[in-house]
Amino acid sequence: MEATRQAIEFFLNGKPRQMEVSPHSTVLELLRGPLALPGTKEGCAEGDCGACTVVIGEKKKKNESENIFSYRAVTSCLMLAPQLDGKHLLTIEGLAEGEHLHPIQQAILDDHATQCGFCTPGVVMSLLALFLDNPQPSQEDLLAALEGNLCRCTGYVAIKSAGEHLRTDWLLEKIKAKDLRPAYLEEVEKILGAEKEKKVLSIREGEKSFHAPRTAAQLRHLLSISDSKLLNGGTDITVAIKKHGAPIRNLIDLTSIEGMSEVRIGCEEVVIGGAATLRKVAREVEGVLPVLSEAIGKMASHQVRTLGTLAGNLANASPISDTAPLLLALGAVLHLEGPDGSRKVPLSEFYRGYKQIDLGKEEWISEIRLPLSGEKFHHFEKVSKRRALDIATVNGAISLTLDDRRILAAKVAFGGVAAVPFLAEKTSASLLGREWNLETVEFASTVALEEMRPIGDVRGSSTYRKDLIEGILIKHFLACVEEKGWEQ
Amino acid sequence: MDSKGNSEKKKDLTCVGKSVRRVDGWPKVLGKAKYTADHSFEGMLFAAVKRADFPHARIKSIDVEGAQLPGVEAIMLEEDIPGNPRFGALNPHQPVIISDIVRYLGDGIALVAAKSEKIAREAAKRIVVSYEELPGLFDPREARKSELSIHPEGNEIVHHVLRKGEVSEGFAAADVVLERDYQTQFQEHAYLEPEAAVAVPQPDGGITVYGSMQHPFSTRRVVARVLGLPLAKVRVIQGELGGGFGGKDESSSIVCARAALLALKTGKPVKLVNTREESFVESYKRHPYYLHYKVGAKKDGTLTAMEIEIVADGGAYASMSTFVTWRSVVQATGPYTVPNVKTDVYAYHTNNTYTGAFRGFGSPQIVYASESLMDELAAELKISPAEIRKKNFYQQGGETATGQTLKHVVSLEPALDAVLAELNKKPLEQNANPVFSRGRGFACSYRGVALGAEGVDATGAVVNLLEDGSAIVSTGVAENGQGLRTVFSQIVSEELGIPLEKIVFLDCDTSSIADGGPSVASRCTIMGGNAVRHACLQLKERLNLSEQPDLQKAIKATLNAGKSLYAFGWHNAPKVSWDEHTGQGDAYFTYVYACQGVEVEVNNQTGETKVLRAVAAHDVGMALNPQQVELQIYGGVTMGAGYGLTEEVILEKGVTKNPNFNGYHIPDSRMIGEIVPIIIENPDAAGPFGAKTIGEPTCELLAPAIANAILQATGARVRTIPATPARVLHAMQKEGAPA
Repeated sequence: MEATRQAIEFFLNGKPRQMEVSPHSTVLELLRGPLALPGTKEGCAEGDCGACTVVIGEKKKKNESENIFSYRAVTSCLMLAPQLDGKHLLTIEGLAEGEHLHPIQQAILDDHATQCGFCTPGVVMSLLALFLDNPQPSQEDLLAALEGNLCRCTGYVAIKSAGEHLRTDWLLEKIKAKDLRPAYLEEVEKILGAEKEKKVLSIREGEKSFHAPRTAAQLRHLLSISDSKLLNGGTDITVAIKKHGAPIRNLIDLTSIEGMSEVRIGCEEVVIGGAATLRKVAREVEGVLPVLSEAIGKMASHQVRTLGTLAGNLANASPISDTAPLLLALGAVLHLEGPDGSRKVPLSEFYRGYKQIDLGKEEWISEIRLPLSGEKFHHFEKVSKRRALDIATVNGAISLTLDDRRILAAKVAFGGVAAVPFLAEKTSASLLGREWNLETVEFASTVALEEMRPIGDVRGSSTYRKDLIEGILIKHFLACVEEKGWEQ
Repeated sequence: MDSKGNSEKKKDLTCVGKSVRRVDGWPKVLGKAKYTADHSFEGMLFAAVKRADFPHARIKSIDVEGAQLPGVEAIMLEEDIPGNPRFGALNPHQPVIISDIVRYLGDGIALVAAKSEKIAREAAKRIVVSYEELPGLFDPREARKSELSIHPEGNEIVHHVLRKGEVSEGFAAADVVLERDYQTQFQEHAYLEPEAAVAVPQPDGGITVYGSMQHPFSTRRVVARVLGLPLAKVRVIQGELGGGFGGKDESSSIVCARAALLALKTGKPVKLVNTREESFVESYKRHPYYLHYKVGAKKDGTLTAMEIEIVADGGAYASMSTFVTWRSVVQATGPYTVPNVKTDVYAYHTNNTYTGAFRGFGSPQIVYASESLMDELAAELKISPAEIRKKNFYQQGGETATGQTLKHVVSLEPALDAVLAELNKKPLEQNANPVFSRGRGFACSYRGVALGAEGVDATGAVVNLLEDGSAIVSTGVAENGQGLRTVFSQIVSEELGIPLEKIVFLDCDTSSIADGGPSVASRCTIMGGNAVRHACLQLKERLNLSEQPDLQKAIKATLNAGKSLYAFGWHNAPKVSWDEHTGQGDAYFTYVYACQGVEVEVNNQTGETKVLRAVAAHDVGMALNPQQVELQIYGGVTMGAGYGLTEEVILEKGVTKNPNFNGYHIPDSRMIGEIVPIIIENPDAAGPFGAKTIGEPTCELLAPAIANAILQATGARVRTIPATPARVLHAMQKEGAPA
């Protein structure tokens, strides 16, 4: 293998840094430890509270003549420090210039949006990412940007109104870009934009390592020489390592591989790169598969979706994944790469048992392909205790080809009802040729309850899950009625 | 307190009554506010705790051999504690670490200090404890009957009674008698900042502890006791507090005492920070209550009798159970005149996580039950929920269940009317989608202000006026994020005529001010505010401002006359009384009144419930800073929504199944559509500028309002909270409601 680098190079609040970091340490640990910047807070260390939110800036396009920089809020407890390589890390300490508060900080003060103040740095950084990333944020964008920041004091009212004041002032250009963008951004963007390809990052410390290959060939090589775990977003693996002491030694980060993060929309299919983040997928497919954008919008929080990837979510094989049932219903096909070339696996054959998937030790998901055939009705439902930042009790998706009300083709899938995300083939078949009405829903429910025997756990009893299977089928139907404007 | 002082009209005030910005907001938005875990000292060690592996077991041996890793500097067991290893405000039986019997999974067994947090945690993991497992008790109703005793003194922590009139006569006179059971859950405070402490040994053999705690003086008491040091050698400084809500008392004292033990032993600064999971498992929760209500009423709604029995889960240690349940016994009937009342409130030990103080302090449980009951009774009598309440509301000059005559303005009816007017501005519109049903509901409460007959209620404040007209203020009650620094600064500014920018508020430091009691019971504004005012009034007298209104000249003249401009104000609460055999007396020196209403939307297929709109009317006496009052309302209403809908620590045989925010759901920013705050002002003679209380009443009302609204939406009554989707759906199926 070619020469590698041990130290990461990144920008911190406008200043270049080069340093060695522990391969499995998080950005949060780096900030509060070696970097001595304790303004970023630790509230849960698993991406659920948003107190540790920071902003990551990076070059979006490799095109030398035209660089676009993207800024995203991430929970620094879920991002590994080595992943900072080549990026710009912005923290609460990097906003005010001397005694001059940043407009977001000023708005939080003016609107009385800080009480105990522990969540405040995270809130400020979430808002910063919103405005750096989105020149025309809607009210919904604002709410989405804030939903990953938990606050126990304010009831969010003042935080939301501070955000709304900023948003309107921004749209009316009362706040100028030069006030909102920290002064050092331009310089950093210039430097990062001009940056040439660097040696591959490969960090070792004792038995642990972190590698960030740039090409599929490098990845293939790395997989062939070590027993490694793929880091594809890492929002689950980081928690597994940090909280549950998962015995993982070598990590290979997929997100630096060229082209792997792209999403291409064709006439007949959508091709999603194996390292495309959930946020990216949601944005790119909004026009052709809005149901997928909506489903992703109900997952975790904004600052987790900017880290997590769609392929990572599928490969994590959680029986209650929010994307898997929908992708099952949509007929997704995975393209896998490995030592012996590539192969295709329909998602419905990918899951083999609890946390068991059809993916060899040296294989990875290079693409997810979703067919875009004809006029179909798609719908996704998720039932959880809280709208955002929550794992579902049961979720479900449907894809129907309809001739008026007659069902010509059907795929129904559920999560949270079996050891794996479940394509309910018998239930799907029971719909064929029938009129799509309440009677059919009732019939399908009886088939579904024969086909699925959910267990009870902390998120819901077996009985309740059965109720939800029925409830979700009815919701699918009513959503269809609404979408098609049918009389009931 | 001079009663003149309370009659000021708001319009004559320059600073009090205005929505000034937080005086401590600046460092918070900059990320520079120093929370305890942000402190760092040269040569500092990091600590970790080995906790129990069983909820109830006898420790046979503790093997620390494997924990002696490179970098480990101290391992401590109970036998290494120089002072008294047990503490507790009422029953000093709670261990800092323990070597004989563990009584819940949060019990600490050994402490480790090491060069890094990683090493400390790894070492703690390698401590091997062998146990003889003991049968556990996990339900207080079982603990009540059980032969098995968790503590030598038995399972019963307390039994409060209240007897008024003769209930049998009351029920005989009733046209309708209704009996209902309700149940509430373990609720976690979920302050965003987990508990933390940094202890720094001092050259004189004493110790300084920076900690994330609500009550620096309680912490000092525990640390001194455990270390065997005189109180004077223990200096406790409150770090910027990342939320408390009643939860940072014993939980924080324990963390501070552990850090202090290790610091004293190693002679080095020691930092101890709980992870979120440790915080969930170790820290006390809100008491689950099992409530049985029997109520009698005439056909017209007039209440004739109430018989109430409540069993509370006190968990492993006594903590504040006695006080928490005392507030319940006082207020259990709700704000209604009932001639015959018989109330029994019990708390029992179990091997669950112990329970203690939590915003509301024994009221959210009984308000949930009694306000659900009032709606159930109204339905039974076929009169409206508003009518039945108005018929029975406490009145000024009337008598409470404890026999106390209410001499102040009782604003229950205005609060209810204000909420209904706001809520019903628009008629209830159903969602066009038949999956959803909407409904409205409300709840009313009264609440005793401050500690009441729980104990001595007094506090102090120092105002140190300097020669240039600036001032340094410190108080015996502590900033918990609620805005105390701001409101007290406003009082100083008002009284002395100095601008807020010239007032500096000191962090609470136990070595620089008198013990002012805990920052609990929503007592800070009314008690601390009065103390600040006393200090200012002393200064005004010395400055002779009535004759020399120019402050600068007055300062000069006073200093030239050799007088000090350093004043200490002390405030004693008005007298209260309590007869523990009858439950009669003037329980609190004054009360606040409130009503909250809500509109919800229930998904008939899944039971998911959304809060579309909440309206909250609170009589606060007087709003010293209306914006801060509104913030308390927003925060309390939201916390109340969590209590009513999503929050529940799930304990199975003593094991916490959801010890982080992925399984424990505090409300997020989307949970409530809109909150409308309504401030009602009836200045009270007992408060500074007429102010009373706002912190706690805000979070005790939304859960029953939601339950009442769910009933209106679906026809189903949820008698156990939180009203999770599964519970709502189950209730709907039971009632045969439209599904």
